Amino acid sequence: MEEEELDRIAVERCLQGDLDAFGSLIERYQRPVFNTVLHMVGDAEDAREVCQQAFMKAFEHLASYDRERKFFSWIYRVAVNESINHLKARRPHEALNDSIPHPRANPAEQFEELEEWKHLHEAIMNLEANYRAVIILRHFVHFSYNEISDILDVPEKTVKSRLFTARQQLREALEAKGHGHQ
Amino acid sequence: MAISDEELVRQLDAVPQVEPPEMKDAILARLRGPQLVPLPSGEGGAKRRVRGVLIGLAWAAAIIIVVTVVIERKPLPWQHVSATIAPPVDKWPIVARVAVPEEGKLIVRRSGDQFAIQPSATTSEAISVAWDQKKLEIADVVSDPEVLILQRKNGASGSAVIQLNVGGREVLRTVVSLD
Repeated sequence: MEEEELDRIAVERCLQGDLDAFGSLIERYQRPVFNTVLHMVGDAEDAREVCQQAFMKAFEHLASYDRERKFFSWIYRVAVNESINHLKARRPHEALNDSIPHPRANPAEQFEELEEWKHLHEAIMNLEANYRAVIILRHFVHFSYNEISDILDVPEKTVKSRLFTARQQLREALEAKGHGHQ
Repeated sequence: MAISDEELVRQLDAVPQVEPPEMKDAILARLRGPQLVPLPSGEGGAKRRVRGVLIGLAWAAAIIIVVTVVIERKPLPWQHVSATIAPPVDKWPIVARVAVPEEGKLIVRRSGDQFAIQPSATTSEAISVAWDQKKLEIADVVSDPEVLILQRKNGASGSAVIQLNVGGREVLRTVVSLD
């Protein structure tokens, strides 16, 4: 059975009061949603809280979810919006965090890889939230332009335009740090 | 020094996915909520039977979080609680008694660090109790009378808000001292 159909069934069960069905949706989407939120807010603890809030908000508003749309688009939209709200609420001096937890269980490996893309992470965190979102959705969770358009509720050409600008800003930031070709 | 678009895309696409912390159980627990406890049913009079559907509200940093969950009603071990608390809950000293005519009533009793919350409503709508969950946590539920037992959290001081909702509406609230 396709994931879309599994989502539809799970949503129906949730609406009938089956909380375990919502658990299956969390299991299916917690990894990509957490990754999206993590790169949006740049802090693991904040990401966990924002992610949980996003899932809870999704549950609370499940009855208003348009079931003609894909569930994953909707949950991503909720998560991105929660992340942006979180960033707006965060005080300016908390805006940047130098470290982002890395996936590797091995601390040594984690450190090496962290160093490798530390500047990229910093550059991403310096992007305006709407630009950051398209970079994350396109490159970290590998959505199509059409899917990103659906998630962010903006035209596809806006997605492409934001992506172009975001990459340009990233390039400039990385080049300023000396990470280009000699 | 210039960086090509291809090189940037390569770097971006190479960023690995992070394994998320365990969230499912935490989210489901929050949705079910320790505060979402089916109060035992009362008998006769104006008391309204709570038929497994309870609305829980959590007070946190002056923000009310509303969570609605349908809970399958299960028998709860009331009896042992009543048996282990001495004196009986309904003999604890009353620290707050608030009533709104035609709406509902809330009686709060205290014994040490425990507060017994006795809600009642004059209508047929579902009732629920909300409280400052930073300072109080649920200890148990006892019946006859229908009472929710809240425990003061370690280190909690000052005062805490307790609120009665009827049909999802706040009808009254009271503040109890924790000191």
